[in-house]
Amino acid sequence: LSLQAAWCILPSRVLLVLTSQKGIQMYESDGSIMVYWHALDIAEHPPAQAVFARGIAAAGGRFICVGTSSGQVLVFDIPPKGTNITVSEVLEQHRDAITDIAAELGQAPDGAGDLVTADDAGALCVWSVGEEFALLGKIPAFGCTCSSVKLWHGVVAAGYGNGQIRLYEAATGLLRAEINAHARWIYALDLAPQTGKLLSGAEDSFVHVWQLSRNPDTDDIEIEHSHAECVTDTQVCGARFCDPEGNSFAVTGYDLSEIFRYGPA
Amino acid sequence: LFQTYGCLSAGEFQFIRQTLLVFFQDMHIRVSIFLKDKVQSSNGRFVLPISGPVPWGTEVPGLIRIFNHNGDEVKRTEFTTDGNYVTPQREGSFDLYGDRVLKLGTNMYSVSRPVETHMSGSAKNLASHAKENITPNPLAKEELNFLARLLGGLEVKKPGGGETGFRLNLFTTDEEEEHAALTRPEELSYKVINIEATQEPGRQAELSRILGELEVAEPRPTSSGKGEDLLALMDGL
Repeated sequence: LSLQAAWCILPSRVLLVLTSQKGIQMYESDGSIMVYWHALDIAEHPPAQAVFARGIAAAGGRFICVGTSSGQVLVFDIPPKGTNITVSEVLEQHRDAITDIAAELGQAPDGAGDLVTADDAGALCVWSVGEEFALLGKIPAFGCTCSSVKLWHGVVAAGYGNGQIRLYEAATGLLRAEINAHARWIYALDLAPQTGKLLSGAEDSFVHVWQLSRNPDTDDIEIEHSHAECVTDTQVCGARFCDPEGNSFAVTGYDLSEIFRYGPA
Repeated sequence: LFQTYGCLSAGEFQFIRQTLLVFFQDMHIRVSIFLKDKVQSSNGRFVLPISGPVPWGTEVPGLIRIFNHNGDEVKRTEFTTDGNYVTPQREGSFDLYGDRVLKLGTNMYSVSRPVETHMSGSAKNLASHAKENITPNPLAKEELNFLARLLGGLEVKKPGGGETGFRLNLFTTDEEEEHAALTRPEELSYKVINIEATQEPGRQAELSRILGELEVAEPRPTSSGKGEDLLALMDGL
């Protein structure tokens, strides 16, 4: 049972990472060779609980981070080529299953961190990436699962199970915006790094496009609603921009064999 | 139940739900009661309404709030969509007994529904797709029992005091019948016609007499099968 798949783009190579209930697989970008397999350690997990890996992100031009159902985040050190991939660190700040991990997609302001991790309880951790990862701050949960997260120019965009999107300042952990975006569980968030467009997809069958910005005078983070699409009778499970400007996006849904692509008229 | 599931987080429940959804993926079996209630569309996909109450703990979509670095709200904007959601009235009870508010988990068959006498145009398409689940109508058994009683072939044990399961209703639902009874104008005469469809001893005697008259005058003492009787009958002509 495969839960997630993600392209991890590093300066030297692109790897395809797959997570499942058994472990983590990493493939060369054409899918031809499996370069690494990591089996999940059952002993780390309490008995009679689901074991899986979830949340994938490439970070710091050198690492691939993958979350687990125990709350651990595994940090893999990736060589420029070959199969000599090792676990360089295990981050243990989350007590609940990891839901999503995001690396900074733009230019982080000082102290803003390079990586965000989110869990089932709704807690978020902000990290700086390096030989040793350092925890910069925690954003506490408010009672709802944080299902997806993105990081851009020091802004954490978090989607929650109650349909809310929240924007936080990565450096301080302060809440800067609260959007009642969806009527159901948010499954997917994506961000177009060149324009700051944010895409959200949820079980309510809606996909929304938002515009993020920074007010140069007040330094406030602002967000506006840009566009909405209703994918009739479909629980949206995936939503991704197809280009870095966010001019078009693709949507997948539960029990749907098609990928819908939306673009400018 | 409470011990195992009571302490699960929302994320864990969502994982259970996702696992169940993966199990049912690609099964497009149409269920007649789902189709009738318009919960399922004719291609097998379930209808997701974009109106109605949002779940408890979810806000109606539309509001954007912006905060400054001091945590003060500095701006409020709204956006609109095609959806027409409303706030839920109250949270459902988690006690052993209580008002659940939602209909999830209740019996779909317990709601009275009008009987459809026509098939929708897509009936032909149904046959060629995945097989249709034919759930037995609980009234069907009662109807057959009633027919059997009329023919005199079935002894039905009446439960103490109550009616046995079958009563005629000339309206489409029980509610309509009650409503009609309440709104019936006073001046119309109230005639109740009692139709006795059960076996009366008097009628039984009448039927037996007729049956007796139909009997063959000289019954064959030995009958070795239907073929013999028929031949004998033909000989007698």
